[in-house]
Amino acid sequence: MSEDSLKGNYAGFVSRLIAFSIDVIIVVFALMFMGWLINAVLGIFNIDEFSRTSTLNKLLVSGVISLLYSAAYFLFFWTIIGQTPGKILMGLRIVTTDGQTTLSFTRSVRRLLGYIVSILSLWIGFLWILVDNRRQGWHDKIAGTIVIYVWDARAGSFITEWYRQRQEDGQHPEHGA
Amino acid sequence: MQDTPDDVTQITVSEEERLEEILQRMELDTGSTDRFRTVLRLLVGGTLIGWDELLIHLEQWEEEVRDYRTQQETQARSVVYVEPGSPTTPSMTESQELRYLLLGMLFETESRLHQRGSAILKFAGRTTNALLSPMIRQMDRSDRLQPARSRFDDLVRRGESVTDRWIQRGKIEESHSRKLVLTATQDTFDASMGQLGQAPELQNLVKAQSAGLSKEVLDEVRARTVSGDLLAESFARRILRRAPRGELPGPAGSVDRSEDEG
Repeated sequence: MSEDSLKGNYAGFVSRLIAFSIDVIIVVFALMFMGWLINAVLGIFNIDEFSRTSTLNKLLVSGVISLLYSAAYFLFFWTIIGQTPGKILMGLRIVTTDGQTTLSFTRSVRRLLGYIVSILSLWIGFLWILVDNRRQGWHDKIAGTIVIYVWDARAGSFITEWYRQRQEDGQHPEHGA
Repeated sequence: MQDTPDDVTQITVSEEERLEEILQRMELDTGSTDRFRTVLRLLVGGTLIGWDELLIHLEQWEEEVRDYRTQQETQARSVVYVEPGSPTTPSMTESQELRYLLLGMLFETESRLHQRGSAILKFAGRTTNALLSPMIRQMDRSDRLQPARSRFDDLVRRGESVTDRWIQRGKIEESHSRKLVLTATQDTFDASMGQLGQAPELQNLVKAQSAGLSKEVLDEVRARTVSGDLLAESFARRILRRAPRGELPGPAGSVDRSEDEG
């Protein structure tokens, strides 16, 4: 690992946002596929009960299934490998504040509840990552987790130069790799 | 691959079919296809197609060189103005000077020959006409040469029919040769690609290169997001009028920094 590598440091907002977006895309595509599959299976067996129900019912059922599926997706990946596919792509990993690299199921559930809290607070819980010293969102604080870079992370040369300039101007740079 | 743009060498589809028929008949007459003839066709077709391609590329190359020279001249003019007649390159060595002199002479000669060539040819034509016309007129009018003239006319007629046959044969052979070369090139290319595609070394190389490339792309994207992390944080702190923080606290002491990705 080279000297200016950020490997092991707290991952920032943009990396985490992109990782989360990738996960959302995966979940949406999976749900679309599931919807198509269920429709096809029901069509084969001539079951059209669902299509006869009201739009509100349809929305409710679809919403509940989507929520359950999304929850299962995140819980499964957090508990099993501590990373979701989006985080794997972006080179991030969730670890506990006391240094454990695996998350227990209970901690994962707490993190998921933290997600709901962060969303209900008009996403402020997520935006908290931008100002927190350890780059923790509210869900991280609730679950006692942090997210770190697990690749040989480094900023682009332009940003590095910019930070160096700021350091020379007497201001503090924001990373101390 | 382009066909030659010359109309004389172009043959219509119906004409081609007719010529193919003649050719097949000729081959039937002479027995099975001759290897020597096939090689000859390959040579002829290769030369013709190669020549066409060369001409096309020569034009493109000349155009590129012209563009490059125009660019260079424009740049040179914008940088420094050189007085006409003044020494352009004072640091030129003697051998360089000699080389440029010879090259200049060569191209100058070519240009002059090109300009004066048509004038010389016209002059030669006029002179020959002036010298030979009275003699030919005399021979045309002479009664004593009448039997010889009729034999000569017969000879010319026979010669014309032979020439016509040769022209027709030339057309057939050219078309056939081009087709043969194109087929041979395509087959060779397909076979080579097939063999290369099956070679395990090449497959491994392609796999390794693809993997390397995707990793490079991924690393680049990640590096940009790390920069984005720092910028977004700095921006947010400025908006919230929070003092830029000092160095980030390092990761939790018990987190293994050397842990591998994935």
